[in-house]
Order: sequence, then structure tokens, then C-alpha cells
Amino acid sequence: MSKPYQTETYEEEDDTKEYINLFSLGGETNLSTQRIYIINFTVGTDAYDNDPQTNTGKFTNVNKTSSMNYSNGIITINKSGIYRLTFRGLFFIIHTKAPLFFVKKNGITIAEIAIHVTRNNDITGQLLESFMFLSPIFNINSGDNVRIDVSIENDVGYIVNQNVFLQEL
Amino acid sequence: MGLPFKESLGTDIVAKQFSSIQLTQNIFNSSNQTTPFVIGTGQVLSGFQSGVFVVINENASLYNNNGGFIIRKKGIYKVEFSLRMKDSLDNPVLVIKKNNIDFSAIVLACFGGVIVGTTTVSMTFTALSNIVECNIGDVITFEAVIKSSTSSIEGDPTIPMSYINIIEI
Repeated sequence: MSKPYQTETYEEEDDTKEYINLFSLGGETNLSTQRIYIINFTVGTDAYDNDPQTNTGKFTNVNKTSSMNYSNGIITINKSGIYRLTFRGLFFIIHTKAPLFFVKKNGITIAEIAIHVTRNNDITGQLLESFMFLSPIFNINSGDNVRIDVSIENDVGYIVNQNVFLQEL
Repeated sequence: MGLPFKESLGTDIVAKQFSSIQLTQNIFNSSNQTTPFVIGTGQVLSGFQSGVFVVINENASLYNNNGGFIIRKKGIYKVEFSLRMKDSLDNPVLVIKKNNIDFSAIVLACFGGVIVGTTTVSMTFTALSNIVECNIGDVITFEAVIKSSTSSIEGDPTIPMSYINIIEI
């Protein structure tokens, strides 16, 4: 039998695109506080490890390419390029106020996002809803870092199953 | 038989096209009239503002200040919206057009509830457009249907709270 032949040619794909995929799965790694005043911190940081009232949404799963590093809420990128960040999560909706998220590059805010959800039940009767947000497209130089800061208080509710996906476009 | 020729702009544009623009002024219409208007044209009248966008990142000059993207490379594109909506009245509509013909429509929403630390009923609305095939010279514009009873769209020159990405995929 003859071999199949190729009728079209394609430009070779750039297979060196970088990404990092951070997950927090389950209630133990939620993002919440019982404090009645606003606190600001980096999602996933260990700065509140000794605070029983606050969970920073630590990432339990980190998948990444070779140019990406992650530590204590900070993503460091060692390849210049064009990137965009996507955040996904689930909201336990026992709140009235929207948390504020800040996507920061080298400490400078490149996106400010306020999350509200409907507060309706899911089909099991739980006040639960998924949400997502996107950053603008931004340049990265080798050595830059990216993090997500958040402002929350006790009236903001619980966020679980956080997923941060930073990809080179 | 001659060799197949490669479509060319005259200059070689190989990289994927993208642009991010940030809204620097609020978009609102205090009138009860629902006449659609193109956002980002800088038009200001009593009780009306179409908003202004500035380019925050792009790899080719795609955005012009009449509120539209001019496509510089044939391809398939999508548009991403991250818009800070204010107040929770009726939902405005955003129609996305190619060469003045609709290819996508998004109903923007703002659920009731303030942002933590503020008394402002406001939230970020994230949405993606339909996918659209574009040729060189095609123009993508955004037409809003906003009136006095619908939420307005918030923009700020220094805080990146509302932005639009267009990306070749």
C-alpha cells in the first residue's frame, strides 16, 4: 500500500510557548477571611499561615513550562514575550460585597477586577457559581514577575477551586 | 504550471495580531432614547458620552480613535471584553460589527452589590465575542445600546478597570 501523501504544507508551529497553570482544588485551599475589615494580600501567599481567620487560596497543583517559576504567590517568567492571564474560580455565595482582584506585573497593577455573581442556587440547592476574568495582553521581559492581589473582608464570601493560567500568546 | 503565490500585504507580517485598549472615560447615556452609538469615538454631549480608549499594547497599529480596529492581516479573530459596569438597572447591549455588519452581540450585566471598601454598586463583566474571519482593511467597531435605565460602563485613565482585547487565533 502506498504511503499517504501530504497535499498541503503548513508553517511550522511555534512549540516553545510558555505557560503556567496553578490550581487550588477543594475547600481546604479556599480564598476567604473572617476579618471584619478589609485585608489585602497576594493570592496563594503564606503570609497568613498563622491567621486562623484567613485563607489565601494556596495553589496545590502547579504545572508549568521550563521558563516559568512559582513561589509563595509570585510567578516569575524567564522568557520575553506577549502574555495574558486567565483566572477561574467558584464562589460560595454567602456575601454581599464584591472582592477586588489586582493583576500585577512587577508590582504595578495592569488590571483591576470586581467580581459579583448572581447569588442563585445551583441544582443541588447550594449557593454556588463559577466566574472568570481575563487580563489585558501584556509584555513580559525575562525576569519579570506576575501576581494577583486581592482585597477581601468577611462579607465577601468564599472562593474555591481557583485556577490561574498565564500563557504566552 | 506556475508556483502558487503567497498572499502578501507588501510587507511581511508573520506574527499573530493583537491589541489591547483601555477605556479612559465612562460610557453613558442619560436619555431615554435607545439610539445605538459607537463607543470610543470621544463624543461628549449633555448627558451622553461615548468614551475614549487608549492603546495599552499591540503588535501593529490596529486601533484608531474613531472607535474601531482596522485589520492589518487576514485571519480569524476574537474579541475579549472586560468592562466595569456601574449600577444594577437594566442591561445594556453591545453589538460587535465587522464593516458595519453585526457579527456578535453581548448583553452586559451588573448584579446588585457594592465593591468591598466602597459604596458603589459595580462589577466587572467579562465576555468573549463570536469568532470572525477578517480580511485586510476590515473594520471592527462596537455599538452600544445604552439609555438612562441601563448600567453605564466605567473607564479611568489610570486604573485599568475596563479593557478590550482583539486577538488573531
